[in-house]
Amino acid sequence: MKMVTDILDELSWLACEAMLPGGFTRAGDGAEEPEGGLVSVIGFSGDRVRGVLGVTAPPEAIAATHPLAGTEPALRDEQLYDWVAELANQLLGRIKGGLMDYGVTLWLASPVVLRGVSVRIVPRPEEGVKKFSLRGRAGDLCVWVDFQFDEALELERVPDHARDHCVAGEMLLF
Amino acid sequence: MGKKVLVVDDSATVRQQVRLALAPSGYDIVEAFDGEDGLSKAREHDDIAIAICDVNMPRMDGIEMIKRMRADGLAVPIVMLTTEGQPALIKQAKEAGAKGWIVKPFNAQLLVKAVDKLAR
Repeated sequence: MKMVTDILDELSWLACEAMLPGGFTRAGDGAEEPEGGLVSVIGFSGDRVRGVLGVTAPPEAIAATHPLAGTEPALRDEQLYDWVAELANQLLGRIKGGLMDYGVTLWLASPVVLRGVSVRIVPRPEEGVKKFSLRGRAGDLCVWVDFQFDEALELERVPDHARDHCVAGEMLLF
Repeated sequence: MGKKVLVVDDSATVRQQVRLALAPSGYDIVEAFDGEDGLSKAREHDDIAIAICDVNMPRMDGIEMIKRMRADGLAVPIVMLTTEGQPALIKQAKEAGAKGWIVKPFNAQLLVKAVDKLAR
């Protein structure tokens, strides 16, 4: 059985790579958060896992990930602030969907944008905070996740035929 | 004037994405930034053909908004557009009166298909 931390890492990377368009690749440990980055955080809780996910990146990198990039002459600051919050929300949504494959349900809080601050993520491994850095043409983007879970937690994948939740991009009409 | 679509989401980016997806098909968009605002706009515009609504929003969530709309006698078809995908929430929305559920990020063609099918 896979370690819980390995599963959480895998789901986090999958979420990052799915949400961020081509042009972002995994960066090594040397990636650093620049001054003046945009920052958003979103909390989550469940009966077995809880924590926080955050996103930080320079405005140019956030603009490059914006779904409307290229459709407007230039994205305004408020559009970037709005998107960095929604990006955190959708990243966590994907992780949430992945955890449902293991029978774990999370409840998401509303994302929050931290205005006027820069953040440097220095994870403390003993506390289980993980940093996921991606390198893009417009700058590096950092996602960090603090998963808190009981040491006794084991994650076992729900068989495909028993899966009854919806995942990103799916539509149901009743 | 095209059919009117009420888009309820606390993210301006998502509201704009939905607008860009639906406007080329001739739909007119009315935006609301949370469930409370969505309920107010639904009461104000009696010609809303369909609503696209997030679930997790400040002040009033999307499922509560549906319940309040139905209690007001507003029969507008509503499709949820959300990061959520758990069966219990989908069931709640369906029982409250939702007609569909889409998990973000959405496919624009699927959204147009749903709106074309359900808009009254």
